[in-house]
Amino acid sequence: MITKNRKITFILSLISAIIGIMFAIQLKSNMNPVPNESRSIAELRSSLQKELEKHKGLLADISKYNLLFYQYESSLNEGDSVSVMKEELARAKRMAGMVGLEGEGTVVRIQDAVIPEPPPLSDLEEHSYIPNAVIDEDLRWLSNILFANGAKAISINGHRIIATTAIRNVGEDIQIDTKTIRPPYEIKALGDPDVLISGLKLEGAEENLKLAGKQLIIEKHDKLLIPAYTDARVIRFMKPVKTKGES
Amino acid sequence: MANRKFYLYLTLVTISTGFLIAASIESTKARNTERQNEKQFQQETQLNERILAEKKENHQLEVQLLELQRKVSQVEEALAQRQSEAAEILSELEAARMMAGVVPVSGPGVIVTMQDSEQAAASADVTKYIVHEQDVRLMVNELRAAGAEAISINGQRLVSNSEIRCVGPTIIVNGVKSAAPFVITAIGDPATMVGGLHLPGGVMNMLQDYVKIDIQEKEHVEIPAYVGDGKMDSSAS
Repeated sequence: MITKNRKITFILSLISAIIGIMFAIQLKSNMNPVPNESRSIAELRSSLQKELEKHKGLLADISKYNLLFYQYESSLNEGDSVSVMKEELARAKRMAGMVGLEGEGTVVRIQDAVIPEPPPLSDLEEHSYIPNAVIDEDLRWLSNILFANGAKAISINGHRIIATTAIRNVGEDIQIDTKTIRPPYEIKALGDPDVLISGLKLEGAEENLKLAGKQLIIEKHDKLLIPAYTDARVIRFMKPVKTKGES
Repeated sequence: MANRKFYLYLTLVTISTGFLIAASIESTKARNTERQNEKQFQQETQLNERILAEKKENHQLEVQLLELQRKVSQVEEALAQRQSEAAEILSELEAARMMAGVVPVSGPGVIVTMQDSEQAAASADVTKYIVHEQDVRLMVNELRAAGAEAISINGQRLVSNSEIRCVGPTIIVNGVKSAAPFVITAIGDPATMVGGLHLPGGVMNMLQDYVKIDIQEKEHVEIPAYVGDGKMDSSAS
Protein backbone atom coordinates (compact mmCIF):
# COMPACT_ATOMS: atom_id res chain seq x y z
CA MET A 1 0.00 0.00 0.00
CA ILE A 2 2.73 2.35 0.89
CA THR A 3 4.77 1.55 -2.18
CA LYS A 4 1.76 2.09 -4.37
CA ASN A 5 1.18 5.39 -2.69
CA ARG A 6 4.77 6.37 -3.32
CA LYS A 7 4.48 5.49 -6.93
CA ILE A 8 1.40 7.61 -7.38
CA THR A 9 3.09 10.51 -5.68
CA PHE A 10 6.09 10.15 -7.91
CA ILE A 11 4.09 9.98 -11.09
CA LEU A 12 1.97 12.87 -10.02
CA SER A 13 4.99 15.02 -9.28
CA LEU A 14 6.49 14.18 -12.62
CA ILE A 15 3.34 14.97 -14.53
CA SER A 16 2.73 18.19 -12.74
CA ALA A 17 6.33 19.26 -13.24
CA ILE A 18 5.93 18.67 -16.96
CA ILE A 19 2.69 20.61 -16.99
CA GLY A 20 4.43 23.43 -15.16
CA ILE A 21 7.21 23.55 -17.70
CA MET A 22 4.71 23.57 -20.53
CA PHE A 23 2.85 26.42 -18.94
CA ALA A 24 5.99 28.40 -18.52
CA ILE A 25 7.11 27.89 -22.10
CA GLN A 26 3.73 28.78 -23.46
CA LEU A 27 3.60 31.89 -21.35
CA LYS A 28 7.04 32.91 -22.50
CA SER A 29 6.33 32.44 -26.14
CA ASN A 30 3.01 34.22 -25.86
CA MET A 31 4.34 37.13 -23.89
CA ASN A 32 6.94 38.47 -26.25
CA PRO A 33 6.31 37.90 -29.93
CA VAL A 34 9.96 38.77 -30.56
CA PRO A 35 10.06 42.27 -32.02
CA ASN A 36 12.33 41.31 -34.86
CA GLU A 37 11.67 44.21 -37.20
CA SER A 38 15.24 45.37 -37.36
CA ARG A 39 16.31 45.69 -40.95
CA SER A 40 19.52 44.17 -42.01
CA ILE A 41 22.65 46.17 -41.48
CA ALA A 42 23.61 45.80 -45.10
CA GLU A 43 20.43 47.50 -46.20
CA LEU A 44 20.86 50.33 -43.74
CA ARG A 45 24.39 50.77 -44.90
CA SER A 46 23.34 51.00 -48.52
CA SER A 47 20.70 53.61 -47.78
CA LEU A 48 23.27 55.58 -45.83
CA GLN A 49 25.53 55.32 -48.82
CA LYS A 50 22.79 56.71 -51.05
CA GLU A 51 22.29 59.64 -48.71
CA LEU A 52 26.00 60.32 -48.64
CA GLU A 53 26.09 60.28 -52.42
CA LYS A 54 23.20 62.68 -52.55
CA HIS A 55 25.02 64.86 -50.07
CA LYS A 56 28.05 64.92 -52.31
CA GLY A 57 25.92 65.74 -55.33
CA LEU A 58 24.19 68.56 -53.52
CA LEU A 59 27.47 70.00 -52.33
CA ALA A 60 28.82 69.85 -55.88
CA ASP A 61 25.73 71.62 -57.18
CA ILE A 62 25.93 74.25 -54.49
CA SER A 63 29.57 74.98 -55.10
CA LYS A 64 28.88 75.26 -58.80
CA TYR A 65 26.10 77.75 -58.29
CA ASN A 66 28.20 79.57 -55.73
CA LEU A 67 30.96 79.91 -58.27
CA LEU A 68 28.50 81.08 -60.88
CA PHE A 69 27.06 83.65 -58.52
CA TYR A 70 30.52 84.83 -57.61
CA GLN A 71 31.44 85.12 -61.27
CA TYR A 72 28.37 87.23 -61.95
CA GLU A 73 29.06 89.43 -58.97
CA SER A 74 32.69 89.94 -59.73
CA SER A 75 32.36 90.67 -63.42
CA LEU A 76 33.68 94.11 -64.02
CA ASN A 77 31.35 95.04 -66.80
CA GLU A 78 28.22 93.76 -68.43
CA GLY A 79 30.13 92.16 -71.24
CA ASP A 80 31.86 89.98 -68.72
CA SER A 81 28.57 88.96 -67.16
CA VAL A 82 27.20 88.05 -70.53
CA SER A 83 30.17 85.84 -71.21
CA VAL A 84 29.65 84.13 -67.87
CA MET A 85 26.08 83.54 -68.90
CA LYS A 86 27.21 82.12 -72.20
CA GLU A 87 29.46 79.67 -70.41
CA GLU A 88 26.61 78.62 -68.21
CA LEU A 89 24.44 78.18 -71.26
CA ALA A 90 27.05 75.92 -72.84
CA ARG A 91 27.14 73.81 -69.69
CA ALA A 92 23.36 73.49 -69.51
CA LYS A 93 23.25 72.57 -73.18
CA ARG A 94 25.85 69.89 -72.65
CA MET A 95 23.75 68.39 -69.91
CA ALA A 96 20.62 68.57 -72.02
CA GLY A 97 22.35 66.70 -74.80
CA MET A 98 22.36 69.58 -77.24
CA VAL A 99 26.12 69.46 -77.62
CA GLY A 100 28.13 66.70 -79.22
CA LEU A 101 30.45 64.84 -76.89
CA GLU A 102 33.70 63.07 -77.46
CA GLY A 103 35.48 60.46 -75.39
CA GLU A 104 36.10 56.77 -74.93
CA GLY A 105 33.24 54.37 -75.19
CA THR A 106 31.73 51.39 -76.92
CA VAL A 107 29.89 50.75 -80.12
CA VAL A 108 27.29 48.01 -80.10
CA ARG A 109 26.12 46.79 -83.46
CA ILE A 110 23.14 44.50 -83.87
CA GLN A 111 23.50 42.31 -86.93
CA ASP A 112 21.79 39.27 -88.33
CA ALA A 113 23.52 36.25 -86.92
CA VAL A 114 25.66 34.50 -89.45
CA ILE A 115 24.69 30.88 -89.58
CA PRO A 116 27.84 29.03 -90.58
CA GLU A 117 26.14 26.12 -92.30
CA PRO A 118 22.56 25.16 -92.87
CA PRO A 119 21.66 22.79 -90.06
CA PRO A 120 20.26 19.35 -90.92
CA LEU A 121 16.63 19.32 -91.84
CA SER A 122 15.39 17.48 -88.81
CA ASP A 123 17.13 19.98 -86.61
CA LEU A 124 15.58 22.81 -88.50
CA GLU A 125 12.13 21.43 -88.02
CA GLU A 126 12.67 20.94 -84.37
CA HIS A 127 13.52 24.51 -83.56
CA SER A 128 12.28 26.20 -86.66
CA TYR A 129 13.28 29.62 -85.57
CA ILE A 130 12.26 32.71 -87.37
CA PRO A 131 14.71 35.54 -87.29
CA ASN A 132 12.66 38.12 -85.46
CA ALA A 133 13.12 41.75 -86.05
CA VAL A 134 14.71 43.84 -83.36
CA ILE A 135 11.97 45.64 -81.51
CA ASP A 136 11.88 48.94 -79.73
CA GLU A 137 12.13 47.32 -76.30
CA ASP A 138 15.40 45.68 -77.33
CA LEU A 139 16.91 49.06 -78.04
CA ARG A 140 15.44 50.57 -74.89
CA TRP A 141 16.72 47.63 -72.91
CA LEU A 142 20.23 47.84 -74.31
CA SER A 143 20.52 51.57 -73.82
CA ASN A 144 19.14 51.21 -70.32
CA ILE A 145 21.85 48.68 -69.48
CA LEU A 146 24.45 51.05 -70.86
CA PHE A 147 23.08 53.98 -68.86
CA ALA A 148 22.96 51.85 -65.72
CA ASN A 149 26.63 51.09 -66.20
CA GLY A 150 27.60 54.71 -66.35
CA ALA A 151 27.12 55.72 -69.96
CA LYS A 152 27.17 59.49 -70.19
CA ALA A 153 25.59 59.80 -73.57
CA ILE A 154 24.12 57.44 -76.13
CA SER A 155 23.18 57.74 -79.74
CA ILE A 156 21.38 55.16 -81.84
CA ASN A 157 22.10 55.25 -85.56
CA GLY A 158 23.34 58.77 -85.13
CA HIS A 159 20.37 60.03 -83.15
CA ARG A 160 21.20 61.30 -79.71
CA ILE A 161 19.10 59.98 -76.86
CA ILE A 162 18.00 62.76 -74.52
CA ALA A 163 15.64 62.95 -71.55
CA THR A 164 12.55 63.09 -73.73
CA THR A 165 13.52 60.66 -76.47
CA ALA A 166 10.95 58.01 -77.29
CA ILE A 167 12.01 54.80 -79.01
CA ARG A 168 9.06 53.00 -80.46
CA ASN A 169 7.87 50.63 -83.09
CA VAL A 170 5.90 52.28 -85.82
CA GLY A 171 4.70 49.62 -88.18
CA GLU A 172 7.70 47.60 -89.27
CA ASP A 173 10.21 50.23 -88.41
CA ILE A 174 11.59 51.73 -85.26
CA GLN A 175 11.35 55.44 -84.76
CA ILE A 176 13.55 57.49 -82.53
CA ASP A 177 11.49 60.52 -81.69
CA THR A 178 10.06 61.04 -85.16
CA LYS A 179 12.93 59.73 -87.21
CA THR A 180 12.77 56.28 -88.67
CA ILE A 181 15.88 54.18 -88.28
CA ARG A 182 16.66 51.02 -90.16
CA PRO A 183 18.85 48.04 -89.41
CA PRO A 184 21.67 47.45 -88.86
CA TYR A 185 21.28 49.26 -85.59
CA GLU A 186 24.28 50.83 -84.03
CA ILE A 187 24.35 52.08 -80.47
CA LYS A 188 27.20 54.35 -79.48
CA ALA A 189 27.76 54.91 -75.79
CA LEU A 190 30.21 57.18 -74.05
CA GLY A 191 31.70 55.88 -70.85
CA ASP A 192 34.26 53.47 -69.46
CA PRO A 193 34.28 50.79 -72.17
CA ASP A 194 35.24 47.96 -69.83
CA VAL A 195 32.41 48.72 -67.46
CA LEU A 196 29.92 49.12 -70.28
CA ILE A 197 30.92 45.87 -71.94
CA SER A 198 30.93 43.87 -68.74
CA GLY A 199 27.52 45.32 -67.94
CA LEU A 200 26.18 44.04 -71.25
CA LYS A 201 27.76 40.64 -70.68
CA LEU A 202 26.36 40.41 -67.16
CA GLU A 203 22.85 41.06 -68.39
CA GLY A 204 23.23 38.41 -71.03
CA ALA A 205 22.55 40.82 -73.85
CA GLU A 206 24.37 38.70 -76.38
CA GLU A 207 22.54 35.50 -75.51
CA ASN A 208 19.21 37.24 -75.41
CA LEU A 209 19.55 38.66 -78.89
CA LYS A 210 20.96 35.42 -80.19
CA LEU A 211 17.55 33.96 -79.50
CA ALA A 212 16.13 36.54 -81.87
CA GLY A 213 18.64 35.47 -84.49
CA LYS A 214 20.78 38.53 -83.98
CA GLN A 215 24.38 38.97 -83.18
CA LEU A 216 25.88 41.70 -81.06
CA ILE A 217 29.17 43.10 -82.14
CA ILE A 218 30.71 45.07 -79.33
CA GLU A 219 33.72 47.26 -79.92
CA LYS A 220 35.87 49.36 -77.67
CA HIS A 221 36.76 52.80 -78.90
CA ASP A 222 39.23 55.27 -77.49
CA LYS A 223 37.68 58.11 -79.34
CA LEU A 224 34.01 58.20 -79.98
CA LEU A 225 31.89 61.08 -81.13
CA ILE A 226 28.31 61.27 -79.96
CA PRO A 227 26.38 63.79 -82.01
CA ALA A 228 24.27 66.53 -80.50
CA TYR A 229 20.53 66.45 -80.36
CA THR A 230 19.65 68.71 -83.22
CA ASP A 231 15.87 69.08 -83.25
CA ALA A 232 14.55 72.33 -81.94
CA ARG A 233 12.22 71.46 -79.11
CA VAL A 234 9.58 73.96 -78.27
CA ILE A 235 8.80 74.06 -74.59
CA ARG A 236 5.13 74.69 -74.20
CA PHE A 237 4.10 73.40 -70.83
CA MET A 238 6.84 73.40 -68.30
CA LYS A 239 8.04 76.43 -66.41
CA PRO A 240 10.88 76.69 -63.95
CA VAL A 241 9.71 76.73 -60.34
CA LYS A 242 10.69 80.03 -58.86
CA THR A 243 8.53 80.21 -55.80
CA LYS A 244 9.94 79.48 -52.40
CA GLY A 245 10.35 75.79 -52.84
CA GLU A 246 9.98 73.45 -49.95
CA SER A 247 11.19 70.32 -51.57
CA MET B 1 -8.16 13.09 3.86
CA ALA B 2 -4.75 14.27 4.95
CA ASN B 3 -3.35 12.22 2.15
CA ARG B 4 -5.53 14.04 -0.42
CA LYS B 5 -4.40 17.40 0.81
CA PHE B 6 -0.85 16.25 0.59
CA TYR B 7 -1.31 15.31 -3.05
CA LEU B 8 -2.80 18.66 -3.80
CA TYR B 9 0.07 20.50 -2.22
CA LEU B 10 2.55 18.28 -3.95
CA THR B 11 0.95 18.97 -7.28
CA LEU B 12 1.02 22.70 -6.71
CA VAL B 13 4.60 22.73 -5.55
CA THR B 14 5.88 20.60 -8.39
CA ILE B 15 4.00 22.64 -10.95
CA SER B 16 5.56 25.82 -9.68
CA THR B 17 8.97 24.18 -9.53
CA GLY B 18 8.63 23.14 -13.14
CA PHE B 19 7.51 26.63 -14.03
CA LEU B 20 10.48 28.16 -12.31
CA ILE B 21 12.94 25.83 -13.97
CA ALA B 22 11.54 26.48 -17.42
CA ALA B 23 11.33 30.21 -16.89
CA SER B 24 14.89 30.46 -15.68
CA ILE B 25 16.19 28.40 -18.59
CA GLU B 26 14.27 30.54 -21.02
CA SER B 27 15.45 33.77 -19.54
CA THR B 28 19.11 32.81 -19.50
CA LYS B 29 18.80 31.75 -23.10
CA ALA B 30 17.12 35.02 -23.97
CA ARG B 31 19.80 36.96 -22.17
CA ASN B 32 22.46 35.19 -24.15
CA THR B 33 20.89 35.99 -27.48
CA GLU B 34 20.23 39.48 -26.29
CA ARG B 35 23.88 39.98 -25.58
CA GLN B 36 24.63 38.76 -29.06
CA ASN B 37 22.06 41.03 -30.58
CA GLU B 38 23.07 44.01 -28.58
CA LYS B 39 26.12 44.73 -30.67
CA GLN B 40 24.11 44.43 -33.84
CA PHE B 41 21.39 46.54 -32.39
CA GLN B 42 23.82 49.26 -31.47
CA GLN B 43 25.24 49.21 -34.93
CA GLU B 44 21.77 49.48 -36.39
CA THR B 45 20.78 52.42 -34.25
CA GLN B 46 24.02 54.11 -35.07
CA LEU B 47 23.40 53.65 -38.76
CA ASN B 48 19.82 54.81 -38.42
CA GLU B 49 20.92 57.91 -36.62
CA ARG B 50 23.48 58.68 -39.25
CA ILE B 51 20.94 58.21 -42.01
CA LEU B 52 18.52 60.54 -40.28
CA ALA B 53 21.18 63.17 -39.70
CA GLU B 54 22.29 62.88 -43.29
CA LYS B 55 18.74 63.24 -44.54
CA LYS B 56 18.24 66.32 -42.47
CA GLU B 57 21.44 67.84 -43.70
CA ASN B 58 20.58 66.99 -47.29
CA HIS B 59 17.27 68.71 -46.89
CA GLN B 60 19.00 71.82 -45.64
CA LEU B 61 21.40 71.64 -48.54
CA GLU B 62 18.48 71.34 -50.93
CA VAL B 63 16.92 74.47 -49.50
CA GLN B 64 20.27 76.20 -49.73
CA LEU B 65 20.64 75.14 -53.34
CA LEU B 66 17.20 76.43 -54.26
CA GLU B 67 18.02 79.72 -52.56
CA LEU B 68 21.24 79.96 -54.49
CA GLN B 69 19.52 79.14 -57.77
CA ARG B 70 17.05 81.88 -57.10
CA LYS B 71 19.80 84.35 -56.38
CA VAL B 72 21.57 83.42 -59.57
CA SER B 73 18.43 83.76 -61.64
CA GLN B 74 17.77 87.16 -60.05
CA VAL B 75 21.17 88.33 -61.15
CA GLU B 76 20.57 86.89 -64.57
CA GLU B 77 17.20 88.55 -64.89
CA ALA B 78 18.57 91.88 -63.78
CA LEU B 79 21.25 91.52 -66.40
CA ALA B 80 18.71 90.60 -69.02
CA GLN B 81 16.70 93.70 -68.30
CA ARG B 82 19.67 95.93 -68.86
CA GLN B 83 20.94 94.26 -71.95
CA SER B 84 19.09 92.77 -74.87
CA GLU B 85 21.84 90.30 -75.70
CA ALA B 86 21.66 88.92 -72.21
CA ALA B 87 17.90 88.61 -72.49
CA GLU B 88 18.24 86.41 -75.53
CA ILE B 89 20.79 84.21 -73.87
CA LEU B 90 18.72 84.00 -70.72
CA SER B 91 15.67 82.61 -72.45
CA GLU B 92 17.88 80.07 -74.15
CA LEU B 93 19.57 79.29 -70.87
CA GLU B 94 16.32 78.76 -69.07
CA ALA B 95 15.11 76.39 -71.75
CA ALA B 96 18.40 74.48 -71.71
CA ARG B 97 18.33 74.19 -67.93
CA MET B 98 14.81 72.87 -67.95
CA MET B 99 15.66 70.34 -70.62
CA ALA B 100 18.82 69.34 -68.82
CA GLY B 101 16.72 68.82 -65.72
CA VAL B 102 18.85 70.94 -63.41
CA VAL B 103 16.00 73.16 -62.28
CA PRO B 104 12.68 72.09 -60.78
CA VAL B 105 9.79 72.63 -63.19
CA SER B 106 6.02 72.82 -62.98
CA GLY B 107 3.14 72.76 -65.38
CA PRO B 108 0.10 70.76 -66.45
CA GLY B 109 0.55 67.05 -66.74
CA VAL B 110 -0.38 63.59 -65.59
CA ILE B 111 0.43 61.39 -62.65
CA VAL B 112 0.57 57.69 -63.44
CA THR B 113 0.73 55.22 -60.58
CA MET B 114 1.78 51.67 -61.36
CA GLN B 115 1.31 48.89 -58.86
CA ASP B 116 1.38 45.14 -58.74
CA SER B 117 -2.02 43.67 -59.40
CA GLU B 118 -3.94 42.32 -56.43
CA GLN B 119 -4.36 39.11 -58.34
CA ALA B 120 -0.63 38.53 -58.09
CA ALA B 121 -0.83 36.64 -54.82
CA ALA B 122 -3.67 34.46 -55.96
CA SER B 123 -2.34 33.71 -59.39
CA ALA B 124 -0.18 30.72 -60.15
CA ASP B 125 2.01 32.82 -62.39
CA VAL B 126 2.99 35.64 -60.10
CA THR B 127 5.40 37.26 -62.51
CA LYS B 128 2.55 38.06 -64.86
CA TYR B 129 0.92 40.38 -62.41
CA ILE B 130 3.80 42.43 -61.06
CA VAL B 131 5.28 45.59 -62.49
CA HIS B 132 8.50 44.97 -64.37
CA GLU B 133 11.11 47.46 -65.35
CA GLN B 134 10.14 47.11 -68.98
CA ASP B 135 6.58 48.05 -68.07
CA VAL B 136 7.80 51.23 -66.45
CA ARG B 137 10.06 51.92 -69.41
CA LEU B 138 7.18 51.30 -71.77
CA MET B 139 5.01 53.73 -69.87
CA VAL B 140 7.73 56.36 -69.79
CA ASN B 141 8.44 55.82 -73.46
CA GLU B 142 4.80 56.30 -74.33
CA LEU B 143 4.60 59.48 -72.28
CA ARG B 144 7.65 60.77 -74.09
CA ALA B 145 6.12 59.91 -77.43
CA ALA B 146 3.01 61.82 -76.40
CA GLY B 147 5.12 64.90 -75.87
CA ALA B 148 6.06 64.84 -72.22
CA GLU B 149 8.55 67.58 -71.55
CA ALA B 150 9.78 66.46 -68.14
CA ILE B 151 9.29 63.18 -66.32
CA SER B 152 10.08 61.95 -62.85
CA ILE B 153 9.70 58.53 -61.28
CA ASN B 154 9.18 58.48 -57.53
CA GLY B 155 10.67 61.95 -57.34
CA GLN B 156 13.69 61.23 -59.50
CA ARG B 157 13.94 63.46 -62.52
CA LEU B 158 14.72 61.63 -65.72
CA VAL B 159 17.65 63.24 -67.49
CA SER B 160 19.41 62.38 -70.70
CA ASN B 161 21.36 59.53 -69.13
CA SER B 162 18.92 58.17 -66.56
CA GLU B 163 18.42 54.47 -66.17
CA ILE B 164 15.33 52.63 -65.00
CA ARG B 165 16.05 49.37 -63.24
CA CYS B 166 14.13 47.07 -60.98
CA VAL B 167 15.62 44.95 -58.27
CA GLY B 168 13.01 42.89 -56.54
CA PRO B 169 10.15 45.14 -55.50
CA THR B 170 12.21 48.30 -55.77
CA ILE B 171 13.00 50.58 -58.65
CA ILE B 172 16.31 52.32 -59.21
CA VAL B 173 16.39 55.59 -61.10
CA ASN B 174 19.51 57.75 -61.23
CA GLY B 175 21.06 55.29 -58.82
CA VAL B 176 18.41 56.02 -56.18
CA LYS B 177 16.28 53.17 -54.93
CA SER B 178 12.62 53.51 -54.04
CA ALA B 179 9.77 51.12 -53.40
CA ALA B 180 6.44 50.48 -55.08
CA PRO B 181 4.06 52.02 -55.99
CA PHE B 182 5.85 53.61 -58.87
CA VAL B 183 4.60 57.14 -59.38
CA ILE B 184 5.45 58.61 -62.75
CA THR B 185 4.90 62.33 -63.05
CA ALA B 186 5.03 63.95 -66.47
CA ILE B 187 4.59 67.51 -67.67
CA GLY B 188 2.99 68.04 -71.05
CA ASP B 189 -0.43 68.26 -72.60
CA PRO B 190 -2.57 66.09 -70.29
CA ALA B 191 -5.15 65.24 -72.94
CA THR B 192 -2.55 64.16 -75.47
CA MET B 193 -0.69 62.06 -72.97
CA VAL B 194 -3.77 60.33 -71.60
CA GLY B 195 -4.97 59.81 -75.17
CA GLY B 196 -1.62 58.35 -76.12
CA LEU B 197 -1.71 55.89 -73.28
CA HIS B 198 -5.20 54.75 -74.17
CA LEU B 199 -4.59 54.22 -77.86
CA PRO B 200 -5.81 50.84 -79.08
CA GLY B 201 -2.85 48.52 -78.83
CA GLY B 202 -1.18 51.05 -76.61
CA VAL B 203 0.23 50.78 -73.15
CA MET B 204 -3.04 50.59 -71.28
CA ASN B 205 -4.25 47.90 -73.63
CA MET B 206 -1.13 45.89 -73.00
CA LEU B 207 -0.73 46.37 -69.30
CA GLN B 208 -4.03 47.07 -67.63
CA ASP B 209 -5.05 43.44 -67.39
CA TYR B 210 -1.89 42.60 -65.53
CA VAL B 211 -0.92 45.53 -63.36
CA LYS B 212 -2.82 48.22 -61.54
CA ILE B 213 -2.49 51.54 -63.30
CA ASP B 214 -4.02 54.77 -62.19
CA ILE B 215 -3.86 57.82 -64.42
CA GLN B 216 -4.72 61.28 -63.20
CA GLU B 217 -4.80 64.44 -65.26
CA LYS B 218 -3.54 67.40 -63.32
CA GLU B 219 -3.60 71.13 -63.94
CA HIS B 220 -0.41 71.56 -62.06
CA VAL B 221 2.35 69.14 -61.21
CA GLU B 222 5.83 69.79 -59.98
CA ILE B 223 8.91 67.84 -60.93
CA PRO B 224 12.09 68.21 -58.91
CA ALA B 225 15.50 68.92 -60.36
CA TYR B 226 18.11 66.30 -60.91
CA VAL B 227 20.64 66.55 -58.14
CA GLY B 228 24.33 66.15 -58.72
CA ASP B 229 25.40 66.25 -62.32
CA GLY B 230 28.89 65.02 -61.65
CA LYS B 231 28.41 62.20 -64.11
CA MET B 232 27.89 64.60 -66.96
CA ASP B 233 30.41 67.21 -65.97
CA SER B 234 33.26 64.79 -65.84
CA SER B 235 32.75 64.22 -69.52
CA ALA B 236 33.55 67.81 -70.26
CA SER B 237 35.70 67.72 -73.32
